[in-house]
Parts: sequence; C-alpha cells; structure tokens
Amino acid sequence: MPWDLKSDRPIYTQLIEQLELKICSGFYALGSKLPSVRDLAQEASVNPNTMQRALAKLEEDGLLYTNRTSGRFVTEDIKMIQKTKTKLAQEHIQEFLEKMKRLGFDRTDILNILAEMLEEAGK
Amino acid sequence: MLGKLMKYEIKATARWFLPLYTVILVIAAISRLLFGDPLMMESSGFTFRKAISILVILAYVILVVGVMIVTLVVCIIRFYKSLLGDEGYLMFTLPVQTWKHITGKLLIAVLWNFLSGLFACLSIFIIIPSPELLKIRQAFAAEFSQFFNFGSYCILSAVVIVSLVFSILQIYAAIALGHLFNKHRLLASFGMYIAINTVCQYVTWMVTPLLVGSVMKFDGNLELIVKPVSQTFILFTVVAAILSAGCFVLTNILLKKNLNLE
Amino acid sequence: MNSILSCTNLSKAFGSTMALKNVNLEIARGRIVGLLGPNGSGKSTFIKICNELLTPTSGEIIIGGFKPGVETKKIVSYLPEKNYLNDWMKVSEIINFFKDFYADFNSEKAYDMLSRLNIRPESRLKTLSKGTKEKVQLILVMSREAQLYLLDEPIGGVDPAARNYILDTILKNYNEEATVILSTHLIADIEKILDDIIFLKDGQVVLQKTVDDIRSETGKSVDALFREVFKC
Repeated sequence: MPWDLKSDRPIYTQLIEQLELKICSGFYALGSKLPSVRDLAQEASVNPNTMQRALAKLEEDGLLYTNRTSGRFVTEDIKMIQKTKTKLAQEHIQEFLEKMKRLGFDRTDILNILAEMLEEAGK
Repeated sequence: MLGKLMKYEIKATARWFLPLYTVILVIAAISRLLFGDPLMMESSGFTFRKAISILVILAYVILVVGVMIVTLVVCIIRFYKSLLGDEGYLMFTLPVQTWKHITGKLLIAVLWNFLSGLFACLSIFIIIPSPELLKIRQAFAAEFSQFFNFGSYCILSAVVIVSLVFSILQIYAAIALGHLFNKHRLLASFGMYIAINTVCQYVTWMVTPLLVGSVMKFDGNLELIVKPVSQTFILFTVVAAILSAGCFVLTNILLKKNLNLE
Repeated sequence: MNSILSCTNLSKAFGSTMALKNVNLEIARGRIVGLLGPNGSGKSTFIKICNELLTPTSGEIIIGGFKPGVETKKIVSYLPEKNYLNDWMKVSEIINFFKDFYADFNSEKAYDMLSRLNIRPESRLKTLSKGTKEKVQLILVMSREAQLYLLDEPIGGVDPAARNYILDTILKNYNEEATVILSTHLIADIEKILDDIIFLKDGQVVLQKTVDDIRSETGKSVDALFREVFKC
C-alpha cells in the first residue's frame, strides 16, 4: 500500500491517517511488528522525526504499543481496532453525506443510489 | 596530520616526477651508448664526431634546465590547484591547520627540487664517464680547497636550502596575494611575484653588505676576500630566512582569513 | 547543549555587496533543516562561513561550542556544490584519504553504498561520469558520523531518479543526534523530509518555522509559500 501524501496539509496529520488506514485494513496485521521508524520514514520519504511523532500519537491512542527491547507492535486489542475502523468509516461517511447534501439529494435518494451501487459491486 | 598531508602530496606529485626522472636517465644512457664520450676530443680540427658531441651536450644541458623548470612549474601548479582550485573545498575542510597545508607542500617541493638537482647531476655522470669528471672535479678542488673547509660546505648547503625555501615561499605568497583579486587571478599572481621578488632581492642584497660592513678590496690576497664572503653568505642566509618567515606568515594569514574559493 | 549551531548578528560583505545581513539563527540537534532561498540569497555564503571557507565581516557563529576551525571541521561534514575530487585518485584511495583525516569516517558504510551503485573501488575517479562522481562525493560525506551535515544544493542539476537516491541516502544515514542542513531552491522534492525551514532573502532570514506549522497555518505547502514570498 503506497503512501499518499498531499502537499498542502501537514505531513504529521496525513501520516496518522495513513497509518490508521493501514492498521484498520489489516495491512499491518493485528499484533504484528511494525518496521522501524527509520524504515517507515524512508518508505514514505518523510522526515523520521515527523514519522516518530505520528507513531507516538497512535501509541497514545492505543493503536500501537512499544516493547522496549523488541520494537513497536500493532495492538492485539481487536475492539480497539474496530473502534478506530468505525471512527474512520464515520468520518468518510460524514464527508460523503455532506457532499450529497450539497448536490441536493435527500435521504431516500441517497439510500436508493447506495443500494443500487452496492448490488452492482456485489456482482 | 602534517605527515599525512605530506604522504598525499608525494603521491600526487610522484606521478609527474618519477616518469620525468626515468626519462632523463634513459635519454642519458641512450646518448652515452650511441654517441660515446662527448668530451673525447683527441683529434684536432672539426670532425663530424665532435659536432655530434657538442650537440649532445647542448641538448643535454637544455634537458637538465628543462627538468629544473618543470619541477618548479609542477610545484607551483600543485599549490595553486590543490589549495585554490576546486580541490580547495576538500583541503580546507579537513580538520588541519592552514600552516600545515603550506608547510607540507613546501617540504615536498623542496624535496623534489633537491631530487631534480640530484638526478640532473646523476645523469651528467652517466653521460660523461667518471675518469673525465674526476679530472674536472680534482681541478676545481685544487683551486678552492685552500678556501673551502667543512664549515664552508655546511654554509653552502644551508644557503642552497634556504634559497630554495625562500624562492618557493615567495611564489606561495605571490599566489596567495593574487587570490585576493576577483578576476585575472593568474595575472595578479605574476604581478605580485615580481613585486615580492623585487622587494626581497632589494632587501637581501642591500641589507647584507651593509651589515657586513667594509668594502671588499681585491689586493691580490684572495684569503682576505673569502672571509667576508662567507660572512656575507651567513648574513644573506639569515636575512633570507627572516624574509622567508615573513612570506610564510603572510601566506598563512591570507589563506586563513581571506580565502574566497570560486 | 541543545543547539548544534548558533549564529549571532552574522554579516558578510563582498566589497560593497552585503551577502549576509545580521543573520540570527539557532538550530537544534537532530533536525533536518532546509535553507531555502533563490540564487544569490546568501545560502552558499552562510554554509561556507560555517566551514571556515569564508570569514565573517561581523558577528559570530558557533558550531558545537566552537567557532569555525579545526574543532568544528572534525564534527561537520560538508558537501559543496562543486566536485572537489581530484582526478588521479582511485575510489579506494579517496576513501583511504577520508579515513586518514576524519576519525568519524565509516569506510564500511562507504564501500557498502558504492557496491549498491556498482561503483568499483578500483576505478579511477577520472573515468567516472559527472553524475557518478557526485554520488561518490555524497557517499563520502554521508559516511561520516558527523554531528552536522551541510549539504549545499545536493539535488540541483540532477535527474529525478538520482534525486530520489540522494534523499534516500540522506534519510538512511541520518543519525538522530545529528543535524542536516540542506540548502536548495528545489523545494517540492525535499519538503517532506524537512523538519524545519529557513527562508533566506537578500542575505536575511525572513522566516524560520517547521514544515507542518506552515502547512497547518497557511494551508499551503512550503513550495507554494516560497513562490509567494519570493515572487519576482
């Protein structure tokens, strides 16, 4: 999963989002060991300090934990991950709903279009 | 650190000098083999042999002078390129004091000049067989042995080395002064060299006899002349040494405080 | 001491032109700092003063507790814009040269990086292309475990692939305790790896901030802000 960093928003914020995405999607599996800060920073071509701060924030939030001797790991707490997943989903849906509202769709229209598209995608 | 600088200096310059010396020796050996002893002038009158011998000696002298000039030119180019060219970015960011850079290059320059002189002499020995040379030497020795003793030889060597150091340091100072200009640095360096050389010559030749004092009179007694001459030599050496130190200090200050690499 | 570099009222004049005017800077350890400004803004002058290649007209600069001199040269690793490698040496010889003069030089690292680029230690520098020589120079500079890396326009005039290599090399060899100061006018490429940026205009510091602060305060990238601040 490549890192997608835009140039007009703070890198720190974007790193947090991208890391959350990778954890929630299972790219970084439950309980798995994360690459080192330096390796991650190199992968994303960002400053190691910024990467470190992003990782620290995620630790604070409970998504990651550090084992002094062996490094950084994704939490084994599934509920934590679900919580974050839900939070992310809610954020995306909120954005979506706002856009649909601006386009002028009401509640029924939105649900109809959604149902149609989900069926299409299911095939 | 100084030792390391000298090590690299030798490596950088040996690639010029070792081939040069080899070429000289080879040419000397070849001409000796082909043309024999150029000093063998038994027959009177003009012969083809004599003409060739003269040509060989002439060519040889040109070669020897050429070697000395090339040695000097290489030393100048080394100093300029290594410290004031692009390589200066490498040299001046080394954790080494500026005076060590100057000293390192100076010592190696003296070494090569000395060796060049040695090789020139060596090749003369090749081209002219020893018995002849010995005769010449004996002739010289006979004339001057009454005036030259061990002390004089020491003074003479000191004079030679100090003169060498002196001329090289004048060149370095001239290059450093030329570097102060923004354009036409090479031309400026030449100009500076003429200026420095003139001043130094003036000081040495004017001051030294003044210090020695009395005028030398030739009254048929050679001994009286030689003593003040050797005193003059000593004083000349001292004055030259002082002026050399001055050039060194000037160069050091300029390279430390007024460096401005392109 | 937290700052690796501290600069007080630094000024440098060349004849009647002031290349640097009363520059005051405090740069902390462990940061990657971008020294940004158009050509002629004083970036190279500043970096040369840090390396004692130029002397200040007034003011002072302290690196690791010392004024620029032998002590600072031991802890500063400098990559100039120019290629300073002599032609006659082999790659292995220039590595030995660095090893001889710099106690913090890590020759294993250097050989490792060289082998990844397929540069043979036996090759003479004279035979290498310009781009390869630049990479060798970068490798030599980054193989030192220095406290301050000063890179003057490391990516100018270099193709995009080489730029990536250079940025990767910097990130890989970046020592958390060391500070890297990169001067450039090509900002978009390097913005992401910078902690802090310093805008230099006509020899004066007009801005010193972190990259993220700029992005969150102005909603623009540093590149975009630069174009605004330095509009012709």
